[in-house]
Amino acid sequence: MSLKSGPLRASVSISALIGAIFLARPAHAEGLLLDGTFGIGSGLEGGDTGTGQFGWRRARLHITTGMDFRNDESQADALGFRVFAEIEKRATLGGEARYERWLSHNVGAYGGLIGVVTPETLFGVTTGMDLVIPFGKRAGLFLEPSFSALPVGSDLPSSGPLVWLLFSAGLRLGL
Amino acid sequence: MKSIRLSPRAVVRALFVLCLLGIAFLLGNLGCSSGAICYRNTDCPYASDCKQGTCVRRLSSEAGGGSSIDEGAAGAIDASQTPDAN
Repeated sequence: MSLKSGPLRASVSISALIGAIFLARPAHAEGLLLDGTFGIGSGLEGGDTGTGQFGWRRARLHITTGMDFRNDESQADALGFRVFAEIEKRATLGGEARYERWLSHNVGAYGGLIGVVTPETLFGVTTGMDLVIPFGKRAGLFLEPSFSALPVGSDLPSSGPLVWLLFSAGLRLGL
Repeated sequence: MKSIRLSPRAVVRALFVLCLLGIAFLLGNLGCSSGAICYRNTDCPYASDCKQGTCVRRLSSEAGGGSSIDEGAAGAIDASQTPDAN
């Protein structure tokens, strides 16, 4: 049977178009991938001893939590935010914003800004590496050595910078 | 002579291990100062500041007549204001 009448052709075209629209799978839109972290760390803290000499001691215990944001179309690049607390002596609260570059799914490096905001202030830069040992599909243990130099802030008694060589470990979870 | 080629991942792993070893070496061998020296004002108890590696009590404005640091007449330091030991 041939379709000769105009209205019939039009109705078939429209119904085919509507069917195609509703049956088609939605396009894969650009999405945001979130990873949450919670860890604990310590290491070495270096600074001016007050006599002009640079000295080292064990750094205070750091408890850190934060999130990494990644675009699912460019998963090698990530933006991370951390909040940390030093829980020895007079407790402090600080934060960190970092750009992360993941060389593979489990190995990455980062650089960013770090600071303590209360009860005194400290600001500087930080860099480090991440190694993730996966547990299943979404969880993993992260190991993170880092180096931070904090030359500015009211927590410094002298003009010399404070240096942190920290090693942190904890849980990383894909959200 | 045969050249050794390392993959980027192997280089990263090697750097990571070196970093861990470096931290372990520093922790184990360098003479870390004891908790008797302060490096930060928050090493000292509340209302104290770190001066020359030692904690000194900060006087209140009423008692100090405007002076913020109490070092005593001859710069003596309040012995009770030692930093908390690690």
